[in-house]
Amino acid sequence: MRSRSIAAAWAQLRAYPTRMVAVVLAIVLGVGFVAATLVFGATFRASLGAAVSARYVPTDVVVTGDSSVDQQKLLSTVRAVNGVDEAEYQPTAMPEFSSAGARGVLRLDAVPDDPRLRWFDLTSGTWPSSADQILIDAATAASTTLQLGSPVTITGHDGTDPLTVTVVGIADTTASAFSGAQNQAFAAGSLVSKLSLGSELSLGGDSGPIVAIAASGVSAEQLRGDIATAVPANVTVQTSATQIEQDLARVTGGATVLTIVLLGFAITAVVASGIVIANTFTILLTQRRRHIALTRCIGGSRGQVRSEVLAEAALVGAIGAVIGVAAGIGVGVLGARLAGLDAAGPVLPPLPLLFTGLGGIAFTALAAYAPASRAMRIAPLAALRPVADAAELKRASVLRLSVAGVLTLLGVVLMVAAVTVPALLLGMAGGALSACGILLLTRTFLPGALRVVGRLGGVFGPPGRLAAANAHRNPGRAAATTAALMLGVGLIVTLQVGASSAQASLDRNFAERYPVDIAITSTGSAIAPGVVEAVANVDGIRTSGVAIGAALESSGIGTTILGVGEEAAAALAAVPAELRDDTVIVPSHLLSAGLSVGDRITVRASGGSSEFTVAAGTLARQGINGDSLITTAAAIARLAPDAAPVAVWAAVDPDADLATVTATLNRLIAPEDGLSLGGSAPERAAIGSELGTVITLATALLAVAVIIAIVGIGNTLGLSVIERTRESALLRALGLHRRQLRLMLAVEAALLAGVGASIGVLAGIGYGWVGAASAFGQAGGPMVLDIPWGQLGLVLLLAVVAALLASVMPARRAARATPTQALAEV
Amino acid sequence: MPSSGQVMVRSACSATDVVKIYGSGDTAVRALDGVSAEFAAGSFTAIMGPSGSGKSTLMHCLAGLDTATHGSVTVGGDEITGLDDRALTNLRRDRVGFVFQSFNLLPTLTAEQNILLPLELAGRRVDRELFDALAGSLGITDRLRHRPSELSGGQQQRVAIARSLITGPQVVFADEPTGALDSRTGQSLLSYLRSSSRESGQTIVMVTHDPIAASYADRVLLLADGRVAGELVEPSTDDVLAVIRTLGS
Repeated sequence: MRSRSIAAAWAQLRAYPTRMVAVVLAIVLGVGFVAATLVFGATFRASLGAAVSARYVPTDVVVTGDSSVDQQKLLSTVRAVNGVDEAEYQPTAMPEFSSAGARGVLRLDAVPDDPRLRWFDLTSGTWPSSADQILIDAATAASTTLQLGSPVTITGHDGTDPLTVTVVGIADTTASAFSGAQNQAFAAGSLVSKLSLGSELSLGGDSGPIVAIAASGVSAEQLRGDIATAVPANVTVQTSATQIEQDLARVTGGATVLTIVLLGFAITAVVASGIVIANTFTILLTQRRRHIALTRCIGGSRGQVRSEVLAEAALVGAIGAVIGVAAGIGVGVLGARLAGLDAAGPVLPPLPLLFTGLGGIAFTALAAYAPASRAMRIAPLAALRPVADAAELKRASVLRLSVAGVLTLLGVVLMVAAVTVPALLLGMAGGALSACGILLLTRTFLPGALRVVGRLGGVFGPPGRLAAANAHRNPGRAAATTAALMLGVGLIVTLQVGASSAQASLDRNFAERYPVDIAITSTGSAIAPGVVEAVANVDGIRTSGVAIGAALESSGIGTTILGVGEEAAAALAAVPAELRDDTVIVPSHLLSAGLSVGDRITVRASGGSSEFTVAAGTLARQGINGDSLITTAAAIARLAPDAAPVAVWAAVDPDADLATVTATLNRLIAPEDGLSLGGSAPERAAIGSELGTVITLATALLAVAVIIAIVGIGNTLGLSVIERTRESALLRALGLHRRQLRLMLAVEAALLAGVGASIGVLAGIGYGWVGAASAFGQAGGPMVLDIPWGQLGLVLLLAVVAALLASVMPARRAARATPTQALAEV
Repeated sequence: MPSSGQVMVRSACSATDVVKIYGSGDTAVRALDGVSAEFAAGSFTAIMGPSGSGKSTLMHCLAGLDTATHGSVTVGGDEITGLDDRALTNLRRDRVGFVFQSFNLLPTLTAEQNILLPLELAGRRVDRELFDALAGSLGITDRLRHRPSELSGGQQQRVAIARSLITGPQVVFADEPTGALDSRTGQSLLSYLRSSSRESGQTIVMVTHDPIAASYADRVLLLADGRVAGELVEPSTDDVLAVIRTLGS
């Protein structure tokens, strides 16, 4: 029996291969997504592992002591142990550095003296031969513009004088887990250990391990035991293999999280393909009604009918799964390579991939199960009595409506709770439940929506009106077709609204914390006029001005005073009322029992003294200039004629790219001593770019689900064209031109996609708002709802255009048939 | 209607030496093998013949649904043989009406919308008087708002007839219009067609295999093996049966 079903299924597939193309495509996309995620995750994990373990690979034993241990003494102890071929101390330090083109913090690792312990090669230059030479890695060279021979000034944390070193080599550390994340350099051990003294490095309080190579004939385990007996009790001794395992476990937790998140997106794609598969089989079986009825007439049982359909589904699923897994592997490997996360080479986890393939087959059969069960209930009589058009069951299934109603209600309640409590998890749960409910209700509200929007079809004349009438004739099918699209679009819009609101809320948060976009402040000397002018000329800076500062001889409160110039005040988002010539704004922590707002104080500086009224205000609270009193520059001009610019405040153009402006300003101030860049713009830039990258990535991943949905729409259209052959022929006979027939189908596709996507957009706005409100509520910050209408409009437009494109092939096929061919009595 | 004293009868449509070949080479089928016929304005002609005689093919060629391989076809005096698809489509829209055996109506439209469909496709204004008269005379006025699935077979065919007449076509082609109906409903339909031809001067060409249906026509054209095999004028059912028997042998 089983083999007969499979043979029949194969015959069916060979006869009408094109009808299953969409189903295969949906399976390929869904299975492929999962496979790609698994491969990507495994590769990433392996690469992380390789990076973390790279330094231990050439070693046999790792000895770690805490901060109380004298590392040099420990090193001698280890070296003295029998069986140790070589041992070295590998400290790490994090000094500050500055060079001609960059400033920041450097992660400085020790270069092993023994070449056997070196775990990387040089792409250019030479190894450091003295304590004033360093290596940097390629990524650092790119971001800091340092090259071979560049001098770098390094300052340790222990207050010692800065050292000048020279870059003598570029290291190839593509295997480094941190490559790109921080500035990486290497230097002789002596230099590094000098710099690491007095620094507070975490990692258990020590600044680096001692690694040892075993002599020939001695196993790592044996050496570990020997060393352990020689060292004090507060020192940990492990074989390198064990150490690598431990570090791996700690670091790859992140890779696992990433894999899980990606799988979440994959599941969305899989759900979309499930909808497409079920829909396609429903349509196909409706068309094959008479053949199935015939089978039943001549003696086929219900079970046989169902097995045949399931066999077909399994066959198609197998084809799709094989292609999907292969494609997914390719995409996963490519993705890891493009992201630079494949240092350890591509990893293909065999068992998960096998299960993914098998899962794809099972899932296809599962999706086809309901249509198959419906097919087996076709009465044998249907073969003899031509059923012109399946009468649509107008009575809505009571069960479906009540389940949908309950789910939706429950979901809404949870979401309201999520916003009031607030708790993001509640919001997500509520969102998922209500989404299920709405999808179930689609069949009920979609025809109405299609009717209303369908009036627009009249714009296109008779074909448009016919298209509008066609779109809602089969509510079940229309609902099933658009469900996947609604899901995909809804998720994308939720993400975008959430992200947009997050960005806007953070912006508001920053605006409250920092009154000015850019604040360049000097810790020591005055800011050179050249710098002030350069800042004003930076592309994207709308207005900028200086604030002058002077030391106070006496005031009773602060020791410095800051005078905000007119142009600098113009750069503020809102000029506070307290910024006046006769008032001084006092940082709130300096206000005390003896001094309060409204008091008059006398301030004395190098040029004389003045009286001011005390005020408090947000300007002083932001800590823009430490403990300075703040007033206008005009007021200070008289008080301290020698006051010099100590800060530059600037406002950024609303359209400017914050990241670019920040980077330009950073490059500008790097060569100057004691200047630092602050304000809301640099913070917003950092967050904005991260947020932007994540959102773009997430949108791209969700787009897969949307693509599957569009394929589904094209598929439904194609199949219903076949179903409506006689109708199309009748229309042609009555005088509808070919072009008009194609237009009719295009309008139908656009209508379905447009309404589906619109509902998705509306739902997405709601969910995005709930998500942002509950997340921000939970984090305790102000929430600003920002709906990116432009982006949403784009999503809607793309969905409609994609559906139009998907309708081109079916429309051409429909228009090609001649009236007589189709009207012939079949 | 021809005016008194004049015997000039215009031809509503005609076929001259029409040949229709399907396929090519060895598998070629000559569905029509040189058929010539003329259908006078205001006449009700039935085309009969056994299966494979080419009667449906002839109708398709006459109506502009299909193009003849050789020969010429005219409608209302105009040559339609060389027309392209666009022109033929316009012809079907404006100058020709159709009634098929089944599946005449679009299931998504109401009866009224189905009737007015050709006018809508042509962008022509609806003559409400004509519409009401047609609906009234066909007895479907109270069913106008219903969809085809809510109409009986006979009602559906009557809606189809109304649709075929609403544009005031030069010829109405009917392909087995009563094939799916019971005898009483069918005959009432045929009576309507006959009176439409006799009293309103509508030219009707009907393809049928039913001798009773053929007896309603003024003239019966007989086809066999793609050729005209005979002609009967004002036949009775028995006359038709007799001729058919000879054709079948």
